[in-house]
Amino acid sequence: MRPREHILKAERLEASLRKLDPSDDFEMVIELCVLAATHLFNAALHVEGVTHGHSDQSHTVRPPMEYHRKSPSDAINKGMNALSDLEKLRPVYVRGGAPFEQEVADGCLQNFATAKQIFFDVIGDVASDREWSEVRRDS
Amino acid sequence: MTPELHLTKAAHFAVSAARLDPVEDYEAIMWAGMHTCTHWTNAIFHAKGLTSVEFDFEHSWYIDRCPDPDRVLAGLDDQLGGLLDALAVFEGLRAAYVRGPGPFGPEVLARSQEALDRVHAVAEEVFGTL
Repeated sequence: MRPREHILKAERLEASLRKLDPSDDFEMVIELCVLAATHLFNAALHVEGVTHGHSDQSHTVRPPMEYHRKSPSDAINKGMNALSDLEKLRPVYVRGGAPFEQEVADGCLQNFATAKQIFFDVIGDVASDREWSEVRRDS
Repeated sequence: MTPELHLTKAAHFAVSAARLDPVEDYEAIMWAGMHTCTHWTNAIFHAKGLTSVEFDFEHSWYIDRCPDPDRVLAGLDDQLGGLLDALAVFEGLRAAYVRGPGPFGPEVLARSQEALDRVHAVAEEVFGTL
């Protein structure tokens, strides 16, 4: 997927996230934060040239970053840390049986906001509507 | 994880999916359906004695990772094997339409709903009305 496609998908997932309640829909809130942040992670990696459109990360560690010839910037690594913290919630609260915790929900949304900000800073205007239109015209 | 806890988690996902719009939020609904079915399937496998509560699988192919895969595979009749087939439907759809850019069409959600209904029917047969 191209960066713009990842961003559009992340926007759709975040729009769904906004319809849910962090307490009542705890598990899906975690999942949508992970999914949306992962799309932005992929967009940022594509923009830096670490990965390309045919090679998306499904998780921060799949495939391992060492698999790629180019290493991500420190900025992406910081965003990746926030995303990794989101991923760690899944085995406990989504696939596991742990119940809702307000502190965890707050931390989840905060980590999503952090990852989103960092990845968008990396992406810049490379995936803006204008740039995207030009890419599409050229292709 | 106990069957009861799996059923509780599955119910949470079903409630969340019900808050969403089938067109605007099809990715999220599909994703919630996948988790609902995975929790139901684990609960059924535990209840039928195929897997212990110590072993939950995340994806259909993880069944090979359980401590005694040959015994589990030998115990799969059409109905239980069909649960893994239903999970495989979600696994295909999520790659194309949630992680990937596949364009939405009503048939996409219909496929995930059909898989969900199949697992739901077995879960109700085992546990009663859910």
